[in-house]
Amino acid sequence: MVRPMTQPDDHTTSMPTSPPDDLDFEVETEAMSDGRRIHYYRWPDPGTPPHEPPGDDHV
Amino acid sequence: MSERRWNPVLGEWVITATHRQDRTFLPPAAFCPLCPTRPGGPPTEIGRADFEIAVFDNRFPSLRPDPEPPSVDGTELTPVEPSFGACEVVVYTPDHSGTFGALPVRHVRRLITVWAHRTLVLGARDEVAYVYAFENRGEEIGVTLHHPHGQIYAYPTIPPVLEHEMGNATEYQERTASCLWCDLIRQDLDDERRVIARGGGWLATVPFFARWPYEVHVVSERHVGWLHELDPGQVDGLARMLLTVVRKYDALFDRTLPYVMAIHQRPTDGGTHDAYHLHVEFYPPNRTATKLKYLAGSEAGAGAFINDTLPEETAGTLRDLEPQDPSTLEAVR
Repeated sequence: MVRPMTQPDDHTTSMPTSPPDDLDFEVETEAMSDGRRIHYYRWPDPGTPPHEPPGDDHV
Repeated sequence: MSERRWNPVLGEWVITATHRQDRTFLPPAAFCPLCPTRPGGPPTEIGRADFEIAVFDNRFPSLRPDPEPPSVDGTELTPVEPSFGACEVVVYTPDHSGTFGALPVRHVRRLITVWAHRTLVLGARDEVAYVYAFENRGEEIGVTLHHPHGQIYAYPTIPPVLEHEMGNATEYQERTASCLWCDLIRQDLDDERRVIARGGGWLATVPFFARWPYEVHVVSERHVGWLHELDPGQVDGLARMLLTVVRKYDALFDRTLPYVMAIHQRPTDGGTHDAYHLHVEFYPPNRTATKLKYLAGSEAGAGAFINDTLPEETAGTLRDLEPQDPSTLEAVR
């Protein structure tokens, strides 16, 4: 049987202090009427992800 | 008005949020606040006519960046604190009648990316120790809006369940030099009876210690702590596994099954928490098509869950089910 896994010693990380700059999506932030904020996430070319054909919905 | 009150008996914070009594409750579809605002229609939370995924500050937050002073004075025995943090709503799609299981794989990959990004954004705030993304689905769970959406809570301290898990994982790592979840994966793969699906670097099981009849945990086969650490292939694998689980749920009783979906990542409090292992937990309340499991005397009063089913049997049921055709899925009612 295939065994998964790496163990904790193989993977010691810490949380970044801020999100990375090289995102493959865009976030547009707007103020709502009462001052709250809304973030619209969008992807530049929604129809053609690089590694999968459009319409793939098999799980 | 919201604040955090310390329970010295259980050693945990309780959030009071009295304004949430007034939150929107099961409005008709024409007045859904999570739909895009349409010409001539009532204003909604979403000002644009269309969007892919939108995230906004909850109108009725339990936690906020600028909380009011507490309504009462605390004592040394029972401190009270302002409810610092954040509560966000994640609207999955403009389609009011949609449901998570009917989302395309690509869209779920993007949703995972949004969860990861919000974790980084909120987790970078000094006052945030833990970012928790979740979905409540179905009126049985207490959903007040049917439009497909989830939520993100950014807590100022690590919540009790996560703290408990992290403490046990750390103790296990110190004692065995191994990861608790990696070893649980190994045990489930050796036994096989509790596995419902495997693929893309993810394993879905009804855990050995399931508290709910159809509880499922989706665990990364690689030892990672946060969603942002996943590579594109692992994000794709997670998207497919989440959809597999939810579509199996929806095939289980031939209805859109209610559930809580809980994303468990490492804290954002500056610690490394290397013993902790990213996973997603599902808790559907149904024990049959028409009967719910309630948190009654033993669970609510003693914290001792009683599961009326065997995980090995419910896992077999879920494993043998074909995921529901997403084109047939409708919003849960």
